[in-house]
Amino acid sequence: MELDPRPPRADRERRRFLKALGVGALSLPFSRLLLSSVSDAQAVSSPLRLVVVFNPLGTAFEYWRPQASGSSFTLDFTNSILAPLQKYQNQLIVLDGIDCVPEIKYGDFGHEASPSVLTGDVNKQMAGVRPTVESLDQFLADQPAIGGQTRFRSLELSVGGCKYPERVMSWRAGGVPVPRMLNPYETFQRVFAGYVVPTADAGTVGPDQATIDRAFRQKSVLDYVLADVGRLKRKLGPTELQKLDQHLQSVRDLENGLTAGVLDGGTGSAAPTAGCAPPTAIPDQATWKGLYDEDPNNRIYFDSPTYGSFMFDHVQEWSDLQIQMIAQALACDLTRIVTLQYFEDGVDGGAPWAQPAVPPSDPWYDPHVCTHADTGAPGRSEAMATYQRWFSAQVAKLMDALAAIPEGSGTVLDHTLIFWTNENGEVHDLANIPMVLAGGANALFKMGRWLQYPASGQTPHNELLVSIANAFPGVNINSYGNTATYNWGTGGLPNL
Amino acid sequence: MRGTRYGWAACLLLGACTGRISGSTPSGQPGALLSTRVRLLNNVEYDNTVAALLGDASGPARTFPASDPQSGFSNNATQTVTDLNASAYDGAAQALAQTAVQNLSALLPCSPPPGQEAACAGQFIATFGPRAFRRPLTADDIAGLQGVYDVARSHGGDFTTGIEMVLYAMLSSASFLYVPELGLEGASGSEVELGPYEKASALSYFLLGAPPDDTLIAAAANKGLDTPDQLEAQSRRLLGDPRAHAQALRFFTEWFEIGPSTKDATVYPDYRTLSPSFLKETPALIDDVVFNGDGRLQSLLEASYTFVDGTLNAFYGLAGSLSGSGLTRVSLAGTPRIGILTHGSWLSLHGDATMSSPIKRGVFVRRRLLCEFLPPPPPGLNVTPPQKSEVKTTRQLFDAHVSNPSCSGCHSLIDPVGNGFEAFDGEGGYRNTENGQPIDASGELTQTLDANGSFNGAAELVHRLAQSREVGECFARMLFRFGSAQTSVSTEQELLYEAPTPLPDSYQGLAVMYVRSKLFRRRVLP
Repeated sequence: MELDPRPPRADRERRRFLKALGVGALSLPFSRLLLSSVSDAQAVSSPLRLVVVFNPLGTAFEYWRPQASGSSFTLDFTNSILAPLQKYQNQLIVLDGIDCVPEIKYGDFGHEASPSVLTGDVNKQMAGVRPTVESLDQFLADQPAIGGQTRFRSLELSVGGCKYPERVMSWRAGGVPVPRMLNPYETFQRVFAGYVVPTADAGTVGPDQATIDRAFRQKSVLDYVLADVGRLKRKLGPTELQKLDQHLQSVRDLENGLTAGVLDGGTGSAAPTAGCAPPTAIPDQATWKGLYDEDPNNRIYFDSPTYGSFMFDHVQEWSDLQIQMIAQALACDLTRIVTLQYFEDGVDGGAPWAQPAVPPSDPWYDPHVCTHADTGAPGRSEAMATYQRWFSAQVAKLMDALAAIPEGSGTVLDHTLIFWTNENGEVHDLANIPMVLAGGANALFKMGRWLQYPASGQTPHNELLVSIANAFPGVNINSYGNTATYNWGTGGLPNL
Repeated sequence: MRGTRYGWAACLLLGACTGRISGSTPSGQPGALLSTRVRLLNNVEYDNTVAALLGDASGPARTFPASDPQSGFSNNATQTVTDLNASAYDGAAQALAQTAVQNLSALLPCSPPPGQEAACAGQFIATFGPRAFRRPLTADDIAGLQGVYDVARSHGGDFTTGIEMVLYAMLSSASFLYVPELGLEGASGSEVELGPYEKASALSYFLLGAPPDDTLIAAAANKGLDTPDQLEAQSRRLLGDPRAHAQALRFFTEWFEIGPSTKDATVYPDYRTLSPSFLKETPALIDDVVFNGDGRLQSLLEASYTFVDGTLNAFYGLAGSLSGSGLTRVSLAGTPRIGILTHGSWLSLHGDATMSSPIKRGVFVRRRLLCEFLPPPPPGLNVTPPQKSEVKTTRQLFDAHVSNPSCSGCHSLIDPVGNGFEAFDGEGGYRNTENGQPIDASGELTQTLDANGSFNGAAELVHRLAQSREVGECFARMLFRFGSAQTSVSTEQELLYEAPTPLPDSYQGLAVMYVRSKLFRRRVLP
């Protein structure tokens, strides 16, 4: 079975297209773009965006959990992990008591939660078992009305970590991990190189003839590639055919980006928000080449001796760059679905950029050791809190970046849902995983709450995935995860 | 101290092992063949292919997403092109084509006068295409590539641009990116023999990680790859190619999980200095055993010599002094070290950041040398980490948790093996004592087919493993997992079923055994 190719774009684009090319220049491959009757109205309202943020290891609940304050709560107290988010308290839901039930019941052990986060499925690396269903971000990316509307169906970004390419959040169906964009320079090149912000006169001033010619030439190459992939589809089993179908879809997406580029400089949106602009801080190629310098096998080791020091020197800059690019990609409607993974599961080694000013004595230098340790050990919670507060600050920076971009009567943040999750719970387990929803999310969630669920270890995060999915227009599902094999229950998260 | 990490995670990981946990297959029964499939080049193969085809050594795959491994090997037949890969392939193909046409005369078989350019483009497609696709072109290929050239010319492109677009199309095509294992077209029945060009590619990527050379293509064209004897002759020729060295090194380093590690600088302040030396030593020994020696696993495990620079010579406490970063072959006779499992590279990666790891080392022996599939842990098992200690040895810390019945099922198989390496600390340094207590490196192998028994220290353990047929079979299976880019018990059963007696025990011998087998030559039709 083939995945659906992306639908044609809105009429308005097509009119621009005709103006740009002139009817005489229109050749057959483009004619399908004229077939849609989607109305202009769709482009006017601001679409909902999703950004999923993941960071590794455990927490210290005494400092993660908000403190009650009258009828409300506060994040502002000594050692508070969520303190950087205090100013956004009314745009948060602190989810206290959500469990990664698939992993708890059927998984390997405390590591490798990332493949389960968005698939709601079981991952057992030691036994060679991978998630079978696609992750929520990929599910939304595949929807014609969501991922199908933008230049990139989804973007997967990363700060640090690529020792284990299979320890990722995003999965295609059938156990295929979706690789992450690690290198900010390459992120910029892929998303923004050659990108021209559409202007009000884009409908009348089309691209020049050389640009159109170039697009035609490249399109003929991609058409050839599509035909060539198709010719491999002979006597093959379903897994192999699925693999080739995925390849076909990826090339079609490239081609759609190309044809849209002829129209409006690369954006998939007929009317990108007023704040759309390429990032001003352009990652430096030479600096980020350092990522690969020490890697003998094309694999980036967080914990190789030299890579570690590169990491320590650049981690904040790395995070800042990726966040800025996410914000602008959303503002320009280049994508609506983003995942941002910090490091990867079970990361080893210290985090000098996020440890107390006076580091407690060994072994608290290492958040991994902290995670494993007895929660009552002196200094453990404070070291853990310092580590986690760094991620909290990154989420705040993401919100700052989105809130700084005007859109409609508000900002891009008003139209974005951020889902931030830890890898582990308090210790190295998968019960009660710290999770936060943030952003205006098109007013689809009542924000400003601290929701506490029973510490039963049995509140499946699958229910949260259902709730997030159903926030998107046109999506109406009742369960998420490998429900053919396991029973996670149905419906969204209660009280959300 | 610092037993915290392993005490906890390891128990969850290895909660219960009942009965024999080996993945060894029943002997004497045929297994299964692989199904028809298409395998994507991995990143190393991509770069080697571009280098062979264009002489372009820029290594564009270096910045591609990392290859998704299977059984620890970067050869993975399930690798799939997602959006990011597609965009990386597309970008690399454009850049490579753009660079290549800057020296057009080196690329083209003709130098067309005006008006004859289309004919020259046709000649380029006819000559370069088969090299890019590693097979003769079909009519569809020719028509498609010609179409790309024509569109380029009719949309503002000059002749050079036309050639550039054709090259871009070739380099981003599936015919370039995949190694097909489909069999001859129109085959029927339940099984199919790979086509001669498919065999040529499969052979070359297996042994060299690179595309077939002219000799191999000529053999494919002239019924030279039809029989096992012919395939063996070509394999032996390729094993003499200089590029066979890097490929063998890739297999062994991925098998033995050799690479950089993380160490706590407060415990192991010299690790950063040692690591580069470690990562030179092991490749040197592998290359020496495989290409100067007999290529046997036993020789790698039991090597009584190694290759050290000044740093390692001092670290290993060897006689004399060496200076500089060059490697010298030295004897290990009379030292506690023997073979690859006592190299700093292996010991440090299979050690913790702050201490040794009987768990990682024991698990390695069981999973990577005995080919056992360790079971998943029982659901719901939770174990409190042991309190840190400044007086106990690492072994004593783990002895405590092995006494826990919910841990001991598996740990009785693992810890007594890993304990054999306890004379080596977390970065591979030799030690007699730990926390003031004498080191106890005695242990026992149990539940193996033919290596059971007690031992004292790494050397005795290594001897047991080196003489085991079960370990020898695991070597065959690991090279097969690498070569076939997949892991499945049923195909490994077929490999051992078809294997000659005695089982070959060298890299070359096992490579040839696989190439001669039905597993290499034939595929099941779905």
